[in-house]
Amino acid sequence: MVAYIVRRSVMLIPILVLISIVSFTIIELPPGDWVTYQIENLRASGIQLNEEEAERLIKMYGFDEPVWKRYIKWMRGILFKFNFGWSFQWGKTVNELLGERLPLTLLISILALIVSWVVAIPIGIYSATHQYSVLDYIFTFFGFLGLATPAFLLAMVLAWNIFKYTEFSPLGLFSIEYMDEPMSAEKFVDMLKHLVLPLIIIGLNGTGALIRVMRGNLLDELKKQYVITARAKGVNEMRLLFKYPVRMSMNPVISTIGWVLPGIFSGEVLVSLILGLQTTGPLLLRAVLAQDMFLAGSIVMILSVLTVLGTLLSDILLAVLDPRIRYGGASAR
Amino acid sequence: MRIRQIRDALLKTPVGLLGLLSLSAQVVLSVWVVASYPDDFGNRVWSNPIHWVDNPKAAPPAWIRRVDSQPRADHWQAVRGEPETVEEKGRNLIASWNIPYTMEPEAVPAFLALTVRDVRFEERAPLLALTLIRPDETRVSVLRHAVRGPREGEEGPYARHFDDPLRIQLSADESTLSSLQEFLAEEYGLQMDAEEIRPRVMDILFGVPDAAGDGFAPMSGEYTFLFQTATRAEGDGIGSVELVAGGDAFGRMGTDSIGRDLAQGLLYGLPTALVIGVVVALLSTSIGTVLGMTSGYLGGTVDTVIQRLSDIVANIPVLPLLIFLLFIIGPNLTVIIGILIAFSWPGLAIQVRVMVLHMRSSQLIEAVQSLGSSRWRVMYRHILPQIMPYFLAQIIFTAPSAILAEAGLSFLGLGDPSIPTWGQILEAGFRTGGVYVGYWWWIVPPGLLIVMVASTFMLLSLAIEPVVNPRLRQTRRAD
Repeated sequence: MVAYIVRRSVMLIPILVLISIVSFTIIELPPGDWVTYQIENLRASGIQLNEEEAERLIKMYGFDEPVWKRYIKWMRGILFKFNFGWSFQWGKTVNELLGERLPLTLLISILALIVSWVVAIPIGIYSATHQYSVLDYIFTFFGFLGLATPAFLLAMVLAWNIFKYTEFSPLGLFSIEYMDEPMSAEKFVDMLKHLVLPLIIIGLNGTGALIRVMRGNLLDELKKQYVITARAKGVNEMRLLFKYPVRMSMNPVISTIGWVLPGIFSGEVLVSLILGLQTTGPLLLRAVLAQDMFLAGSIVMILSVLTVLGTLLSDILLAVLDPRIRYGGASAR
Repeated sequence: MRIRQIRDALLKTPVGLLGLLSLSAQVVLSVWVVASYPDDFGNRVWSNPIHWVDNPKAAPPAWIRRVDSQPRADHWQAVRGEPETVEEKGRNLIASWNIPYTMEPEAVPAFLALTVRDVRFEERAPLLALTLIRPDETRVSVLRHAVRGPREGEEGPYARHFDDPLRIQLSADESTLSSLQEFLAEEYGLQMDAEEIRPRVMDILFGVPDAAGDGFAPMSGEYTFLFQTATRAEGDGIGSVELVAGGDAFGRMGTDSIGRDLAQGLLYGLPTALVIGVVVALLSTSIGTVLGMTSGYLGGTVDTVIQRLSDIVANIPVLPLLIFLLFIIGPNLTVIIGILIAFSWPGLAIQVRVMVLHMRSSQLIEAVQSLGSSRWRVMYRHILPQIMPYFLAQIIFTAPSAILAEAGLSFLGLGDPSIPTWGQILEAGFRTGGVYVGYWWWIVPPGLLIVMVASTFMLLSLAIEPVVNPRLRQTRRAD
């Protein structure tokens, strides 16, 4: 087991390196850089800035070195000092900004993932065991409708209707009266109330696809000989269902973390923007628009790395659940 | 053979038929839209505020009057060319146009605008005058305007307002204010200053002072706009005159806050959405299939490289990256499509690889190989056909996510301004606060259309799912 985890982790290293290169390329992509932009700004506003001072500024921010040197410098900062760089736009370190925003992004993403599982797995089981029943059709219908509805549209419509009919504003993370108060039980409850809507919207976004996967796998399992054998032996139907076929058909669902997480991070950007949540999504959008490249590149990298770690986690979880993977070909993903 | 099964699944199941029917209708409509709209609709028409200046702003669709019984004025527009009468008066030629206008009870128009085009004259600039003859025979002089005379160094004959029509928003025009002031004093003995009149120009024009004396009661009935020009020489005159009485409701789908006819934009969004969906789906699925096949069949270094590449691309959240690249390269539909293609293939490449790995060890492939078929022949003739149904299903399944992705980007304000899409209409509605003011006609239709087009593809994929995933095929249990 330990050997398996180590093997999987080692395989991640090249991916992580490549992701960091992609992220740094992003930082480097825009024509011009923040310092040149600022120098021009200073000149435009009439401040006399001679070549020497400009040179000094460029050197101070390290823009005079070749690209690969800057990449190494950035990576060294991250790896050894855990320092992602400086946000020009906010005048704070990227760490500080991410420290404020990332926990909420993680909280929402993980909870949304759990929501989508909690909804999709039971529905998938029901749909498979009651194939072509009325409820199966209804779930299928809503699942596909959900896949066809943009999350931001849902967020907009729901937020407006909640506000219109209940006078409760689901925007932001706290109601105005709790905004400046220290954390208390009431404030916590208030926060939970605000979290419900984003969780439902982001979580249900991928649920339709998960239901289909779960349903298909379970249908496949249910047709296998061992199920018939067990049934013939007189095993209790519920026990039979949950002991083997459900466990088997959960594997692919768990391995979907890999592709569900990027989707959740992407969906989160728009939904947070509409619902006014202080997550990394809106921060990234603003960073991009303000050419605050270290911040933007760092966010893209961190989200990508988190996705990779999520995939690793799902692989480990799979190995725990399925002995065949633990002992045999790790290529079954 | 499974291609035939797909055809059957589409043609012989109700879900498949419904999806096909809906898709064909959309395709027909798109072809019509593409054929009938100008090529540069986005730049020249949609994003050009001048084109929409005569439309009411943020007006609900016209059919709303059948739903609620609120009094709403129809949007009214009249264009006239040749004058009805021309008479000589002293040294002047007076040309007149009589334009009738009916006001429904309580339905005071939202604004009044006059547009005059193609003014030409030999020496003296023509005078323009507009008078409103009301149902009670009172006459309001709404406007007197002198067309700009010869400039220094300019030679006659003179031409004015050929390229930029003379447009006067009468409900906000200073000279209209002062003539209304005069009219109120003479007709009703009311003294009001310009600032008092300004917000209620339309109420005064289309109403009489009410009994209480502090407001104006709408006067419905037959109005006539009398438009006249006074010219000197034969051949002087105007090309056309246009009057617009702004409605409180407009067209089939209403207008947005700068008066754009939403019906036009919504229609134009259909071919755009379909093209985005189909192009992205087709190309990204092709890339994914080819790479997956190569990776699975060739194995070795090629396999490793392709799999690592898909791992990386699959692990980067697309939306943040899209935002990034669009910001750098600029909002351009081709770029959006390109990026969506570049990031949609990895999942498929991984799945196809697994399928090919299974096939490679099958007896069929082994037999073909031992007969001496080349690698490319095996891939092309024996593996590809088996993947084909899956490929088709994947195209149908990818299309809606591409459409939704574009909508999301447009919603962030990163849409291509030269090509209006539903996402952009939604964004405009959201940005201007349309959601909170209750401009439902601005938000709901584009949203529903996105859902509708995406659902069409979903219906198709639902129909062919049992063919592609044979393990799902199960006859009804006999219970």
